[in-house]
Amino acid sequence: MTTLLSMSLGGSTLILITLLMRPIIRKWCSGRAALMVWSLSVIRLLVPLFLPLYMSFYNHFTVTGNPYTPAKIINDFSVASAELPLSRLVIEPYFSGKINWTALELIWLAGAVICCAVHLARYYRNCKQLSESLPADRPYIRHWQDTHPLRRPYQIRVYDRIPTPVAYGLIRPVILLDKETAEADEKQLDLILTHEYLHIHRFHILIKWIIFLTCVIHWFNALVWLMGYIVQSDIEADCDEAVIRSKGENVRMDYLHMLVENHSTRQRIFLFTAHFCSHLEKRTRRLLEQAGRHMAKQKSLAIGAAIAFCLLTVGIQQPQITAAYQAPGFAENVLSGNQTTKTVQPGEYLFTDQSWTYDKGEKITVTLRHTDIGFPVGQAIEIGYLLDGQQLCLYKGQNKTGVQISLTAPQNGNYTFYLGCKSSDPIILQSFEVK
Amino acid sequence: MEQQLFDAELHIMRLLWSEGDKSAKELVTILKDSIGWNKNTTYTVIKRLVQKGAIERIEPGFICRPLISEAEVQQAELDHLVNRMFHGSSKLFFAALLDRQKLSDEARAALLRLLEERKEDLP
Repeated sequence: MTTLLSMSLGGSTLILITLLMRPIIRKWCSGRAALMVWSLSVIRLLVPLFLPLYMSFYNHFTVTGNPYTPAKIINDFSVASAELPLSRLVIEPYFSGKINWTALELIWLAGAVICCAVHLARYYRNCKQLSESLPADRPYIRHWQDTHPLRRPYQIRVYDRIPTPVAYGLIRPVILLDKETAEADEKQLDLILTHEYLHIHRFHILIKWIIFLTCVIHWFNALVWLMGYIVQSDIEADCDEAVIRSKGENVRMDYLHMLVENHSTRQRIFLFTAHFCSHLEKRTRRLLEQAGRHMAKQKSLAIGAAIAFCLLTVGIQQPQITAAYQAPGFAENVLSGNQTTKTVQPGEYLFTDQSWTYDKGEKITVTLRHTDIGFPVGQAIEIGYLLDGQQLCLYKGQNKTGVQISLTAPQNGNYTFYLGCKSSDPIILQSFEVK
Repeated sequence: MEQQLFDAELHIMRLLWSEGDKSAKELVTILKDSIGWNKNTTYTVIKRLVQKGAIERIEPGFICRPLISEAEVQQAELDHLVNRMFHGSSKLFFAALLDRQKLSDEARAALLRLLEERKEDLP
């Protein structure tokens, strides 16, 4: 859940920055470049990865609050703590595959399932209805299709119960014309068919599915839904620009007129389809703004790439939800004062200043917690203690979020514990507790 | 039958009018080959036609038989068009038909002849 929240927070930051930069994007970037910029937010929201940059944007912010409490950790990750000799350590990494659903996770799951079910039911109902369409038998349409092939075979069909043309279907795409459009004059029909064809050609339906997936996973995040809405508008803008590029600048005004004429107030929203007349106002305004401004494709893509790079450096890093708790017996030198985290650099060993005196046979529990950020396979760590000038390793291995080690003191003495970073990236330590 | 027929429904009706009674199974095969409908789509449209009273289902074998003729449907569609677009006036409808630029001279002459013959019947 922490990972999901981190992804959502990181993605939201990117969405907010993209929204702030939207006037620039709208003015200087093509629809495709705008989609490229949005893709970063989507990647950030869907892929639990980040670049472990040392100069992180988020270093300037401290997240306050305490997502963990010692009691919770003990309850959630209870380990067998029988009296064991040092040679038989009980080591239980956190999140070791045991499903232990918290209330928050259950609420998220229920929301995602409901959201997914509602939308898929609507999609299924729409598909069922649209399957009653008939093949377009007008010779011009057949000729048009022959001259516009695609790798994926597509169909052009006519349906008398839709108000405007749509393109739908991911694997077997269909351009569905309403009856009026199917009988329109050839010039108008050519523009409409080109528009829908480009939706399929540019994988816009796939983009809509990905956006849907993002919205389902981050259903609790209003910014993600806002992004979904704006992406739909950018998809249409991208298609409009592509039509004008392919047909020539002289069709711009004809295309605009047709867009307005075909706009239907009876329009219904079909999911995962590309409607010819959706987001009409924004599109017409954009087309009018772009009239007479010949924006080089390379230039607009370069600006889009530059914006994308800026967003990448900022947003793809992980916001550190690292508000740590100070557990009893916590070594002051590890996290002292108002520190919430401590970074252990690669190759570095961090020793506790404090020592603990144990008698032989006494139970010792060492609990370490660190962030799981950016380490899908886990961080290589080493935990051990110093006793009578000897350094003994208790645990060495890859670990995602933390480890709890129970042992029995092998002899009387003062124990000083240490953590070694064996990773190529630093470990962001949240807590190191000795009992 | 008061309800209008959609294109999908008319497609099945035309098949039944031209080829006579057909079983649902035969319709599924024909429509799959000709227009790419799957079994569920065909059965859904047949079911709707039965509900609208356009066809009847005869057992055994789920035979579909049209209950209305093509002429009746044409008449109903025409009435609907005249009422909706020409305020119920056949004269206005004919005037619009004659003004159509796409109409050939021959067709226009034939229409005028027809109109002359039956002008007293028109509302």
